[in-house]
Amino acid sequence: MRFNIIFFIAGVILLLTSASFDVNFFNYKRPIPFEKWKTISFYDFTGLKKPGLTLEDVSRFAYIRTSREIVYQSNGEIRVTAYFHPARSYVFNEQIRNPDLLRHELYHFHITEYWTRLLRKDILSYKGKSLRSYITKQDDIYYQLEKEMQQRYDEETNHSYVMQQQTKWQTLIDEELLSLADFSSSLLIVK
Amino acid sequence: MQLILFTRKELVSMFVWSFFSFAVIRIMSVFIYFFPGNLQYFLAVVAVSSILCFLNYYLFKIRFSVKLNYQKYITCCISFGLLITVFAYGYYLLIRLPHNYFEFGFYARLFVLNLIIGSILYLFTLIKKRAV
Repeated sequence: MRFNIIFFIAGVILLLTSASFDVNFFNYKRPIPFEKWKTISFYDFTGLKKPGLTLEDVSRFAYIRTSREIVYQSNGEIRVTAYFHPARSYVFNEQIRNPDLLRHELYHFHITEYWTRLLRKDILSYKGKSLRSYITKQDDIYYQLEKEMQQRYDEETNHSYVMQQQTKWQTLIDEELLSLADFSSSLLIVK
Repeated sequence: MQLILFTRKELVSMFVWSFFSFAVIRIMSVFIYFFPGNLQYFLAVVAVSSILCFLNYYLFKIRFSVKLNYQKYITCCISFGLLITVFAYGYYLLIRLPHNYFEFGFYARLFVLNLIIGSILYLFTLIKKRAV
């Protein structure tokens, strides 16, 4: 009996410790929707960095976790929102919390919003049947495309090191978001 | 005819040991993520889980004074592998984000390799017995 209790408790402690590196529930902050992106600072990056993770090995200063959530409401409306996850995002070094780096990370969030707006546009212009399966399919496609774009963004800007490329990307993303400004609301009323 | 391989106490012990082993495998991912490829990570997980699975043999010996025969031992290994997969899926459901996919293939490979390595390790216990 004592064996079971000791190993069960030890298992729970180990599991909670490892889970806190996925989502820092010791310093949890709720996901922030894109409409509030201007309020985000590095102090919102409350996730835990894995021990031993160094700057050179991964050539990254910070890690931002974003996602897209689709909620089907009971009144038939659909909410498609891009979220930033504070408890899953972190900075490598407290000393490097500078505005350029924050801007770089926030444009990752902008990229998520860009693909989210494209998805909203698709949903609103869809005329066929079985909307849900169409949304799931499009969402998966856009997720893959977003992933590629996020990687390209990091490679070309070298994680914000190459200022010229960083500015180029910011301009490009801003233009794309502006062209999709009609789809900035997360609430979709589907007829 | 009723085939009873394990008592209730033995089953609870197997469950707790599998849960603890899953927690050990999870905590490993925090410390050995820095391997350049996924292969090294996978091999490390296979090595640790095979050893933890094999330790069932000694747990039965110490706790219940039972020397597992191969049939019981391999049943232990199968339930160990299945429980690890179930715990991993539960963990994934709790912390996943949209577009995080559960890697069934990873756990299927781990399961098969656990059985193979576990059987080899069991063979060693037989060789040792003969030598004595």
